[in-house]
Amino acid sequence: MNVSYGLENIWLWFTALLEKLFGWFGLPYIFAYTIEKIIFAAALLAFISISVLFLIWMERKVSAHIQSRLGPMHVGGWHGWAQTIADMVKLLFKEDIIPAKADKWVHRIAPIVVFVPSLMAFLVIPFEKNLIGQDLNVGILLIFAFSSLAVLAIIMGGWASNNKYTLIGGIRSAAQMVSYEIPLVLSVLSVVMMVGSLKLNDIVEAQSRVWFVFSQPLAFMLYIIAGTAEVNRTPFDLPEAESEIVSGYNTEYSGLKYGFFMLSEFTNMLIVSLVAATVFMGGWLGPKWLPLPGIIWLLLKTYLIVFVLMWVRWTFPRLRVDRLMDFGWKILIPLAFINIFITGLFMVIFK
Amino acid sequence: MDFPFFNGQLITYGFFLLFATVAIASALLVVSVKNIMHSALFLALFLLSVAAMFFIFDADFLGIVQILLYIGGVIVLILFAVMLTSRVSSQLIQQTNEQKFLAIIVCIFLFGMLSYVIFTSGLKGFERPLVEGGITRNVGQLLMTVYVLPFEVASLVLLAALIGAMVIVGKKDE
Amino acid sequence: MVNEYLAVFIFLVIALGFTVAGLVTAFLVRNSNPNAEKESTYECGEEPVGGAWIQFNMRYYLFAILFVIFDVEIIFLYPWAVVFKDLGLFAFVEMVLFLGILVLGLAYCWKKGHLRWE
Repeated sequence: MNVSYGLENIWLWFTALLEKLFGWFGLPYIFAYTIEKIIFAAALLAFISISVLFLIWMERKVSAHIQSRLGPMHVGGWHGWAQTIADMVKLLFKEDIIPAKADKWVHRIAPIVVFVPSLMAFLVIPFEKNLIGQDLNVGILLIFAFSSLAVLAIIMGGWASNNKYTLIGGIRSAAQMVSYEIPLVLSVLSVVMMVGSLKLNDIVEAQSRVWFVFSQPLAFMLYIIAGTAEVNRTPFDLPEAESEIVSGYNTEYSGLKYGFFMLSEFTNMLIVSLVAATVFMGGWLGPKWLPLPGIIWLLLKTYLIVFVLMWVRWTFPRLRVDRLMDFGWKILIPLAFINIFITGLFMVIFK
Repeated sequence: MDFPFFNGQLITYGFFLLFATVAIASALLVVSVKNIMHSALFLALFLLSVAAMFFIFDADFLGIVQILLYIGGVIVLILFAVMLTSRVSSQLIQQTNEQKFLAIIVCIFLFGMLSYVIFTSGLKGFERPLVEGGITRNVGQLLMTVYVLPFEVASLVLLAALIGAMVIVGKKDE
Repeated sequence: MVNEYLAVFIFLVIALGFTVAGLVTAFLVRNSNPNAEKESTYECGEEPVGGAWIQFNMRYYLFAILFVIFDVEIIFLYPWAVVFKDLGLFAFVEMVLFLGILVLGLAYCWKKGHLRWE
């Protein structure tokens, strides 16, 4: 698995060079560190933007083919690959409408509050062992903490628009995200019990023999289900059930502000899939007989999960709101507790 | 070459000053804005800057608790409570206090007392963490050894809160 | 030695900068032509009836409280999970007790019918 080429080595070489350069000028290490992180953050932003644009196109293509359609075909030439870029340019130029009765400043700030935390969560994801924003001690908890901020933004957006649909959509969304956050966090807990660390690199390395998707199948199922609900995708997309509440919390948004709400949905889906690939499917680890760079393995696994999420979205109908809450509180949470109990029992017995 | 002030801690000091300013400003806004929803949102901003300060002092777990629990949980609860209360969220409220002068005197005394304690306790500002590898592991170890009893009692407190919530919402047998 | 949480702040600044720059660009390039009709609240083409800032159902509040309680519990569980490998049976029994009390609460809530959404 020691691959001598790939992005990781370029990054290591670059940071070493930078640190040496700063050393020559007698500047403290912190300056080199700051520059490194700024460059990494910028590169990560580029990666996220391209991935999200690709994801939106992929979603449209997958949904189209599931429904025996073609989907976007014209913009950009080959299978309409530039469709989302064109959409983004359109959103950028669109008029921004704030309802006269709205709370203007909360309405303006909500898209920022929804988008920034979803970017922050990428900080601790290891694309390769050394290709990581910062391998923090709280690792996985930081991702959960920042994704819990999305609830706040959705309430802000729904309330500030002063529209009945947005308010109902926002509150529903908040209640749903809040209910499914508990099984999401609890399912990862059983993995943390087995690893004994919250650092994502430690979690990846603990899977060098067997992936947690095999040793913790129930936790994986719980994570995927709760994760789907967390990002408000069908069958859990009640917050934007068009037939009931128009478009939900973002009904009164237009232009790029609406764009940020939409982008954050796809960013969150990317995070959920990346975390699933990292925590349950071995992250950047790959089979020994095929020495590809770790980032390729990670992205392969991630896009596999993304594809499954899209497949689910276009296959299942929407849940009813009471069933949704029942499912979260009466099935997922008890199952998560049982899973923790069984994991603990096994670890005590087979110590 | 040595930079006496322009060293590595400068950036950390800068961020500390930034977040301290944001914390104080947002705390003042919490008690002075006229719209109760804005008040709650400024409280969220205040808690976020406190979380940032925890990060600066390497209390990473506390920072996470601050974001996950206080902003993701308690603020959401407060926002729900505001929206549940009939028509409060659309009205302007009066943030006045009949005992304004008494409050100011108490605040000045509290400020003086805290400053006295801080300046005489021998705190040296930025010190490196007490624990290798973050405080989460330490918290876990302490919870399972020294503080086992408080830990178990905490679950009883949570149970009481659960039952209390059900009583508030009202009876609903089936 | 560098405080590794500096990376969090650097990322925060970059992410905030990116988002705000996007919004400012949109502000500069878009055209704006507001009128009263356009700025009215959307209500399926009808004239909006009253405001939206009205009272909400209490059950949302109960679920929010339940969430906070379980969130606190998760916060207790994570440090425990990190050290669980080193501690063994004692820690397991303690956690079963801790969780047992809360699961009892959840079961009571379920029995009383408060988990039902109607």
